[in-house]
Amino acid sequence: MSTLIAPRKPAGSSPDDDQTGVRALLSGLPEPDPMPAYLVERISASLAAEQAQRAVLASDASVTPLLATRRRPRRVLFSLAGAAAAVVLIGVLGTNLVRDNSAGGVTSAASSRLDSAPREAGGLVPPSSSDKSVSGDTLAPASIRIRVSTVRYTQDAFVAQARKLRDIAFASPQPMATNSSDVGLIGTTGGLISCLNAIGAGGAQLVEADLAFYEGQPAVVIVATTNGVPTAYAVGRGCSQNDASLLHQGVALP
Amino acid sequence: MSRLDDLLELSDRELLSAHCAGDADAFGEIFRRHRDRMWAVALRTTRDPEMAADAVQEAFIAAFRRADSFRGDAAVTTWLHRIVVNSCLDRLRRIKPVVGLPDGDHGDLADRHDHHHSVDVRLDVQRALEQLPEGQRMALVLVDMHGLSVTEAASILDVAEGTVKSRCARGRAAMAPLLGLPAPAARPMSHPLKEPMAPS
Repeated sequence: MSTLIAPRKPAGSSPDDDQTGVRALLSGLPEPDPMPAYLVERISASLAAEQAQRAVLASDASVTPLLATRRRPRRVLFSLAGAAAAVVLIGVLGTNLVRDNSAGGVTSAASSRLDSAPREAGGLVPPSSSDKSVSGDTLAPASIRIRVSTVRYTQDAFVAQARKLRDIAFASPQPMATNSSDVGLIGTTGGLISCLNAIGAGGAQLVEADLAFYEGQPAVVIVATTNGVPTAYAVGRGCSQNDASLLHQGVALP
Repeated sequence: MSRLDDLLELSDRELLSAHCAGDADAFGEIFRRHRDRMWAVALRTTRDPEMAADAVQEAFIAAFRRADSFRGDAAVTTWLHRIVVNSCLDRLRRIKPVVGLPDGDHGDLADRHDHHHSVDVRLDVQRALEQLPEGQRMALVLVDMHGLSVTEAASILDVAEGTVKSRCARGRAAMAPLLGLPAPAARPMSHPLKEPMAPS
């Protein structure tokens, strides 16, 4: 029986790894060609279709501020198991709303999972069990929207970039985004409220937060609207009740 | 800095996180980064370009949809490998539920070709791999052909690291005589080709 090719030990392998030479032979085989162009196009088209479908679902989940509409009974319409995360749109049951039923509203939200995610319109979402940082006497904003993005905010363009944040269609809650160690507590409603208190924006009625980058470092850009006046801040992702980690002082948006 | 430049600077994990949060471009970058690798894995697992194409397409769509199932306890690429391998194995099992070596057919591959002919070598390796049980074959594909660590392969195949090591050793021992390589001198493997199908 002849030998097909001379065995070649792969770099770094121990002689004890394989006495047969098969490993060397297998590792020495040429890599297959790159994915063929037709397949790249085919899969790209499929992914684009998935993205389009996801965008439709996300737009269905767009926010209606709580203050503008009738409040429904406080029954839990969402059973979002991981709603702790609540990345996009979570109407937080604020103290002010609890006190004033007539000022209540409807929050429309949906998970963007394409398969079996719960989708319901209406109702309020109570703070999730993971939002332990929400103290009983905290004045919670009427509506909080959180997203994760790759936007790189800069000091020079901060105002213009923060203004755009207000026009962005936020996607739907994604547990992974906030469970990720890359995001941290600031990605939860409770964590964000703690941060708002730390930067002096605890009285805001509407909050949009973008977990993105500021001057090249991971940050959260927050636009907090109080009495109709939006103010933009940039904070570190470690922002909490005791440490504001303020990267950009609050600036009123025109 | 352009939008694409931004994406290029992000890690796989950050891209997946951005995708989960609704970023429309993040998963496209993940696909761009890993498509050739996943294609190679699919091709070597199925040994059929058409099946590999379908499997890898199905896998990327599944990854797109189930991105929020990624919990970060492994690398994104390991997670993608697992999805691709499972997609391939599902298809293989549908058409060919059992892979085994027919009795008395062990020794003829190596004698038929000039040993300097790389195409023949590749074909012989492929034929020899085809005769291994699925578990051994996948271990060799991932560890020996794709250079993954035993730990990564174990995670992808959802088995213990010791199982991967054992399957590699048995697979190599089984392939050696088929390829005209010397059988291992020490610790001869008994019935190296008789391992049952690996659990999925």
